Amino acid sequence: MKQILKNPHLWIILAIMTGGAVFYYADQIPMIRDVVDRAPIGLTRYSTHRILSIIPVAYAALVFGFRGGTTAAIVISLALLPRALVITASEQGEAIAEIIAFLFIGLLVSWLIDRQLKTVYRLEVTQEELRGSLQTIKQQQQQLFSLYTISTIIYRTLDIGEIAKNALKEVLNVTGAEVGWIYVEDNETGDLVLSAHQGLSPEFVNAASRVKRGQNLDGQVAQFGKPKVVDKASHDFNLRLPGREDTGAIIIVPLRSRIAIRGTLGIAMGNQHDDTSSKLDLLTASGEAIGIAIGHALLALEQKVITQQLQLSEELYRGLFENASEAIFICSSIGRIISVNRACEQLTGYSNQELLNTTIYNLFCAEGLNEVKQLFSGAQKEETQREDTELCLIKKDRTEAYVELKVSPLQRADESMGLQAIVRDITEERRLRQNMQYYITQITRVQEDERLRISRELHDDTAQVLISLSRDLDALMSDELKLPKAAIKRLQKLYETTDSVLEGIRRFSQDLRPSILDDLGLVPALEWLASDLEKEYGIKSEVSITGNQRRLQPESELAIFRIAQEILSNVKKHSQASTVEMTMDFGEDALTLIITDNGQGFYVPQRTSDLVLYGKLGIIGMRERARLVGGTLIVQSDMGSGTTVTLRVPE
Amino acid sequence: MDKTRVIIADDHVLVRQGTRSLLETEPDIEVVGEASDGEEAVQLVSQVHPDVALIDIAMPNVNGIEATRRIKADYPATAVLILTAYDNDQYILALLDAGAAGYLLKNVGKNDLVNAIRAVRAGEAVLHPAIARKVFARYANTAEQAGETVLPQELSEREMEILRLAAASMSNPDIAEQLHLSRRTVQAHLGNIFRKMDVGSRTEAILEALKRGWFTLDDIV
Repeated sequence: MKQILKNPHLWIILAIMTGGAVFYYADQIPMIRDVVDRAPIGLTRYSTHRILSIIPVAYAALVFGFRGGTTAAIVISLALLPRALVITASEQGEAIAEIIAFLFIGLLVSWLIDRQLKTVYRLEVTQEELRGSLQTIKQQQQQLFSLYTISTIIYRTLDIGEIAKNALKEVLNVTGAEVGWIYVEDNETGDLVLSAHQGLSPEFVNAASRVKRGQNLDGQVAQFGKPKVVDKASHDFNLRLPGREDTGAIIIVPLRSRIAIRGTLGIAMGNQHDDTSSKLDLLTASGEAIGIAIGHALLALEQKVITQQLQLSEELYRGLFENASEAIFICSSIGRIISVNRACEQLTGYSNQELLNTTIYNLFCAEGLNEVKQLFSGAQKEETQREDTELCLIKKDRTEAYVELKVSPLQRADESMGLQAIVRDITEERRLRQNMQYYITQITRVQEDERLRISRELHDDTAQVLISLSRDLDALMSDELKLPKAAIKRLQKLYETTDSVLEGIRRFSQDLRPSILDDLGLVPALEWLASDLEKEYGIKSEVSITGNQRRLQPESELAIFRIAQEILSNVKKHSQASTVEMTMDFGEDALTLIITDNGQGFYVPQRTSDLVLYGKLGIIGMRERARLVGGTLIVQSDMGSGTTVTLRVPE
Repeated sequence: MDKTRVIIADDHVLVRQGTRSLLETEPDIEVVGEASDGEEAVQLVSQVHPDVALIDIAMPNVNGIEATRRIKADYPATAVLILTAYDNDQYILALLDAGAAGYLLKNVGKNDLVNAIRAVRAGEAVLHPAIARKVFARYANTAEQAGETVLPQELSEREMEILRLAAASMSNPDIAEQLHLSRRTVQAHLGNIFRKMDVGSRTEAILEALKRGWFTLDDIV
């Protein structure tokens, strides 16, 4: 109410109203009538009064709305009433009609003006809203543009330092901040490294050039991935912004890529009040853009390194491939030759072009072809090839070469690129080996012959002489000669010495060539070995025989016996076994001897070359011995699980 | 009693002659022939039918064990004593298997050799009791496994009794004393037993009886 009273428009309206009333009643008040009649107004008193009455109504409606206009109209109507009721009795009807007409016009005017005003107001509000939206759109457009600018600038390079520098510059440009910095994660240590900064004091740069995750504000942002806003940074110790008293709010956001947080972006604003929330949005978006750019750069760098490594290894392989002394064929899965090296040409006698027009299977002899195909299909299934396989290869000039074939899959990034077949010419090696085997056979035979000869000699000559000597001594001691007691005593001593020499000779002869093997055969000879092992070393030994027991070829019997002797000698020397089981099976077409001990076992290398390396020469010797009589020898053992040797000799 | 007729088979002249000279000094032993290998020995036995053949294992052509097998097949009444350099179980079992009455180590003294020959002739044991038990046990096992139980029809009760006592490692005098017989009678009974069983020595008779399942290991230990 007070406010309305203070409003000057009210008083103007009231003044005009009063003026109108004066004109209306002027004929009744002589003093005023004269003044009015004399006034140089070209209008009648009534006209002036009507104008002065309608103006306040319109005015009030304009200023105070519909209610104001209505109130003004009612007030003026009330002011007209005394005339109709008191003054002009004759014209009473006319006066009342006039009042009613006035009231109607006043209300109409008020309503019209109010309606008009309301429309204008609504228009104004809409206009205001439009202006606001436009502002937001402009702001968003600006942010988008900033982000776009940041993106384009930082994607121009793969250098992370450069990205940080460019991004920071643009961020400061867009936000209008003077101070800003970017920390980027060190890939190796995980620490944050200050990679770009502007407006920071040298002391700060020195002190916080490297920050651990979780340490300081930046470390915490990097650790938890949540932006931080500090309103009054100059009081925050953690910020370490010495000498920047004027620093206002600080905003730090993570540089987030899809999978990781790559660092932080921070800005410090001036002291002036600023809208941190809109900045925060912009900054968060910028952080994401920068994070993704850094991730992208890291990925690109990694890719580059991998590509370089691949190129290098490819070059290396190419060099090895071309200059290898072994023939290397690169084949498709069905054996079609894709690439060959120089050694292939030398090995086969075919030219490069000729080889590329054929399959590798065509190079091998028919009898070994199945094995070759098996090797290829095995390599495709990524089975490891155990022993080197010996195969026959046909050269262009139809001569044969013996080769060793190794097939392995070629892979690149888990994708099969075909098969690599390495072919090594072992013709010469094989010939040497055959010669060697021939010599070994000869040497073994000569050795056995020699042993037999010496053993016989010892038995037939030395032992017989000693037997005679012993008998002569016995005869000398007989009562008939009546030698003195002292002499007999000495003779007895001589007799005993002779006996022990004889015993020694026998044992030596048996060791060289056990007569038991020749006299009684393999089974008693093995039983003898077993009983000897039990008697001399306390290792419980059992021999069991299956099948149709019979004598074999003397060489076979000797070989089997020697191998058994060697196995048992290993058992007593190395195995620490307490029992040995020997099973001899006389099969229809082969003899199988299995010797098992419960000793500590040992590692059995698979390849012959490894046997040499591991000093298992005994196994090689036994295998060689078995091979000489067409047999095979398999040694199975493992640390802590005993040893089983299986010898098979066909008849 | 007649002189014990002996042949010597050894491929070493020196040893053969030595053995001969040892035996020739004995009045009750007569060396009736010499052979220098297994084949000759087999022939000699079929010609002269000796009571005892002294045979060396290690001989050319046919070795002593094979020669023993053949001799026993042709002329079972001849008892074979093997002269061997080796006394391990495999040899002993093999030579007894072949039908030898016993074995002697080649460097035996004169007394042992002569005693062994006399013992064989008298139907006495020539194997050391410990070795005999080991060998008999093995034979008894194989017989039981085979389940052979052929009852003796050709032997009289008295003969069976004597054989059982002999198998229990009793000497002839001990058997004579236990059965209140003279030594000579026991020796005669043993001779009859050997003849009926077609063997030449106590060892062979016991092994054969075990093989035929006439008595078990419990009877002889």
